[in-house]
Amino acid sequence: MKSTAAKFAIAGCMLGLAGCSATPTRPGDSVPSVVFNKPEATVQKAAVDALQANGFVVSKSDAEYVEGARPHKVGLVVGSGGESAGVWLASLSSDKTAVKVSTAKSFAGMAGQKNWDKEIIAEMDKSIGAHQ
Amino acid sequence: MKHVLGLVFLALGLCGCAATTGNYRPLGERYPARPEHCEVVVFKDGPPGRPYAAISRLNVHLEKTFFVDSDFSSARGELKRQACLSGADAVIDIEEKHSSYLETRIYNLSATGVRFLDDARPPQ
Repeated sequence: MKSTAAKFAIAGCMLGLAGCSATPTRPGDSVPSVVFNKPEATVQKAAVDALQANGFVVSKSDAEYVEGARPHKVGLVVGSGGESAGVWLASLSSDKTAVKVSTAKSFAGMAGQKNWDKEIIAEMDKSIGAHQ
Repeated sequence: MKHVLGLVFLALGLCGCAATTGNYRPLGERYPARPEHCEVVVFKDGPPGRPYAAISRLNVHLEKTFFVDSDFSSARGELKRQACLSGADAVIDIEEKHSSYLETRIYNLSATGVRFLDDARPPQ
């Protein structure tokens, strides 16, 4: 009986690890924002596009916050995926928007995960023009 | 022990070794979706020679582990599906990007979905 319960517990843990990803945390005030000379709505769309172009499945798309996660993939050595990323937006004026990006790595498959902050910003630069 | 290993492999198998994601975003007015496997013309080498309007931004992203590459032919089906869902008749401005990370090969394709402005629509 005990052994059956243990097997279910292990199965539950493994399935949980396969499915879940970490929640990104907002960078603190000491981390500088990236500023785009575009209205907040334009930058928000660019953030959604940038996440998708980097393989994130967008789960939240609010006016001032966009979040997505990359699906896990099994590999020969380490696999990949499982990261989640958040993009925080703040309107500075009608045509200036500050952006902060943060990638979180999940416990499962961390060895095959990377920080996507630069790629996300680069994709936004490509879409709406270089940031300041 | 055998059962535990089996469960571990089951969980890993659920992750898969490839991921394909497709999305579209309307560029303005939202058009009704066409049937999922509708006829969509893909213009890889230039714009169509008839009047059109850009209506959607399309994105298809493929990632494969085990050092396996992807290319346009792997993404074509999902690209057309997203074009149909966005109500587009054709696809233009195709941009492909290849990258990699460790053993993962990444292929991203972005394009613009367009709707013809004359009456001769492709068959559904």
